[in-house]
Amino acid sequence: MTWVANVPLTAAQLNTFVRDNFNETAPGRATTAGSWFITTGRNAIAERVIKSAFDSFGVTVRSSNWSNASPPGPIVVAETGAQALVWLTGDIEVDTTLVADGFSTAYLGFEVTGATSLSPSDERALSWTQMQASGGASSSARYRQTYAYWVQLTAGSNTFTAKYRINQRGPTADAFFFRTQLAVVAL
Amino acid sequence: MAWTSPATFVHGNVLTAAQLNAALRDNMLETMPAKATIPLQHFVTTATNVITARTISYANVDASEETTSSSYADLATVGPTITATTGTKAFVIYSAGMSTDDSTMRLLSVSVAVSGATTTAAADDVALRLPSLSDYATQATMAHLFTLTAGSNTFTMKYKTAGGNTKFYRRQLIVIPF
Repeated sequence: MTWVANVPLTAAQLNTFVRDNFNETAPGRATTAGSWFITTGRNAIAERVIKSAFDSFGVTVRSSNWSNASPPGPIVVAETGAQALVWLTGDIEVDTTLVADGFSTAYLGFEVTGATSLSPSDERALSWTQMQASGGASSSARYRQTYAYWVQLTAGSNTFTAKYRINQRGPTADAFFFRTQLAVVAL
Repeated sequence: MAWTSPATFVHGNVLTAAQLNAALRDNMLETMPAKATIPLQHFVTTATNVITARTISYANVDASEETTSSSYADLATVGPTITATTGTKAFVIYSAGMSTDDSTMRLLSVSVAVSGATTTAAADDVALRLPSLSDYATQATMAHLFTLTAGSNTFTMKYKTAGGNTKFYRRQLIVIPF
């Protein structure tokens, strides 16, 4: 409000324009170290977290359907707005020893549950294709890369879970995933 | 002065200078505009009702330099290197172009070491690792959310190769502290 000379200042005005407005500022809303602030609308801000989960163990996947790792891969639970930036990182190795002629693609993706229901998809995954020519030597090499995806969500508590699959051309092939990290920048 | 939970004003009570200093002056000094000092800062929570300005930093080394080291090491031009004041986390993004002259496919690796308040050696766990042979070049980016000891931390890119004379170039480092 605009203050006016000779107009009495009331407790109600101070409570609205001083107390209540200060409670809407960043220091008024700050609760969790390492968080940052995002606007959620006109004159409104929210505290958001940056979280990650990292698994150092390796998992083997042979399924062409999206599946959990055993033991489960990284999981992040975060309060988000309508968007988040998701980073997937991992060492991926496709063992073409088992493939006579062709290629196989390994996928590291994610599923969202909670406020949002979003199934894993090749479109939202880190992938690696290993090729082997007919009669060629088998190959198995491990590469480490990252993939970022800007995901649309329903605001609220959302759970991000790493998922895995391999798309095989040929009899069978194994995908190996190591040192997997899933990071969520909540917006 | 630290943040004070804004008082509830009561009709009929005398409004004092001390109340206004605590509820207005001192609390306004804890808000973002009061704490902003230089461009490109963002604000993070460092404790309940406490926010701190952090600065996003960028460094790069364009020069193509070689190594034959099989363990993480510096190149002729060390880095890129960034020293930043951080909390217990920082989002670090690093990229490079790379190639090896070996006729056998080799794995080339770029990682980040942390020194200062935190000591973390460069490791495969956080590395960008890509294949190359016969001077075929590749270029990519890696990102990792580092867990740190709060304070002044220095981030330095490090390099290794599984074989051949390996070149790294267009090396970039970005640190987003929280």
